[in-house]
Amino acid sequence: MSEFEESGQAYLVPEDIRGFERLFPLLRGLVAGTDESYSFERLRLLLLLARWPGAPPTIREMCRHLHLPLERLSSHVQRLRATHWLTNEERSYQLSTHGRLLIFVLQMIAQPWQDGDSVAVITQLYAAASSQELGLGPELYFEEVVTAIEESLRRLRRAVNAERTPLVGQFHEESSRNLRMADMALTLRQQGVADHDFAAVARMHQALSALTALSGQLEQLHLSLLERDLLTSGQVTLGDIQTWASQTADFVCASVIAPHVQSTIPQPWFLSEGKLVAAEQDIAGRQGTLTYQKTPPAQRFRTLPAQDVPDPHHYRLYALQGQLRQLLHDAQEDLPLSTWVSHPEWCEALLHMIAALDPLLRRGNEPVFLQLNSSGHLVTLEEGAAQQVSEGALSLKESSHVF
Amino acid sequence: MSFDRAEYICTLLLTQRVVERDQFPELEDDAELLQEVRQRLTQVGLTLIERTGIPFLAVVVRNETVTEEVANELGLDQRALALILRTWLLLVAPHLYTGAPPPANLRASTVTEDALALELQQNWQKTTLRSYLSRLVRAKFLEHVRGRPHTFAAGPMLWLAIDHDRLIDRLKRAAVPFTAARFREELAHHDEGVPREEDC
Repeated sequence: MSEFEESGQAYLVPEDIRGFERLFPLLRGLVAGTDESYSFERLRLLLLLARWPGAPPTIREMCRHLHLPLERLSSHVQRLRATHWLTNEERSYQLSTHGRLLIFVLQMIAQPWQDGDSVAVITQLYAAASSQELGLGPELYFEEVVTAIEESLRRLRRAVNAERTPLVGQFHEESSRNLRMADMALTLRQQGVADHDFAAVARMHQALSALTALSGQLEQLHLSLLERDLLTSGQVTLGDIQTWASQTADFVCASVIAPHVQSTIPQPWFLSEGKLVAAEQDIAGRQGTLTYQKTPPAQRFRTLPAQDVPDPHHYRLYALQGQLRQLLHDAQEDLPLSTWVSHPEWCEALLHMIAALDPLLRRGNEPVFLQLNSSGHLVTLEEGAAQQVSEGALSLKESSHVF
Repeated sequence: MSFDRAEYICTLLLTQRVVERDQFPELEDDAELLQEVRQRLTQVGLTLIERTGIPFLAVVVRNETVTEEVANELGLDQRALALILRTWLLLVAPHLYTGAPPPANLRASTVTEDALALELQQNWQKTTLRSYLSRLVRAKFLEHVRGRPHTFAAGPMLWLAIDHDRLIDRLKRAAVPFTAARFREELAHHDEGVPREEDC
């Protein structure tokens, strides 16, 4: 017998801790005198047995899971049996009632408890009561869980008008936690549902529904109060915004900035910027004063690359040339030059064509002057003297030069 | 007031879209001329914009005249707008966030194409990013930095065409959950760092 047990009769246990003296031999079975790791190994062994599904494990199965030498595990098992943490059945390793309670208490202690967390405590107790390890049966405590949830609901409803952010945050956290707890209790209850407690289950469904709505309401309230506090105190940093942007989809970013950004007109892509005015003036000037005093460079008619877009002046020229071809095509006889020249809009196109086609204009380097007179005669002006070249007639006999 | 001068200013604004204020010193003193320019631009659905501390004037399409067809022509789709916001956060917001006036050198902050690609790598291919960067350069929201290839500074439109104050206010509201999360994280770190009384 140990020294304590030997002197047990003589030792006077104070009134307020009477009954606790039974803990000493139990706890001494868990803690080893010299090696701290022994205590943890014994706890791991108890936890393994508590969570072991199905038939009790063999010692070799326990060895494999705990990665302990067989001799050492045997020693732990003997010790735990001797101190009543395990049952004494031969070749079967199961937790005793004390063992199940110990694991339950350890799991309870490991929860993130908060002050006044009555719903969580009751639900955990109910969960333990429902569990086969503890063996208390499922009927116990469900009524208490429902009552505790309903009570918390009444209390939390009063919080929706609160103005203090931390308080609302605390209430919201509590409502979320109670929601999880109620859901867990209901699931456990439904696994072992009995006829007589349908009313309690219905109450729990109602409480769950109300708690869900309330939790959402409190979350909104908490967020709006938080937003108010953070905005008024200027604690939202640019870093927070950049973090938001980095984790936000493009379409959301676009919707945020869209109402606050204005756009300028698009750049005319085929004219370099800044030269548009000069180009306009150039085109406008050419329209009224186009006369040839010397040979213009030969025009090369070719298919334009897709990216080259002609300017409006050339568009107009092409249109006139097209009209001329159509007119010649439709005419029964040759078209007199005078008829053509009488059409004021076509003069310009004709001048271009003559400049490109008339072989006279390509003779030597001497300047050659060309004009159309009003009667439709083609004349050249050389050193001031007018010289008629031809009456002129346009026909459909197009040379290879012609467009 | 010279009406020809107003016409000339409007023509330059329409062709160049953004001009330096120094080009038209008379606009500073001649309120009538300024009014005439504004009025002529308004008649064709445009607005002259200026901002304190920004040495540029720009012409923008008035919001109420931006129909779907006009928006298509402007070329600022959702991706372009998102890129404007992201570059604004890097190049402009650091100077204006605390309510300070714009800096003397508007091109002080720069960002490289690689840095942007790194930030956007999950959603943007490099070719897409390059295409949209070119689009923003053409729209004068960004500028190439001379002598530093693939590096961009804020263009005049990034300073002029954005209502900075309202945008910052809107972004602050959007970022509130992130601020709250930061506080929770800081609090958790603080709790880990401070030993409890019974541990001492």
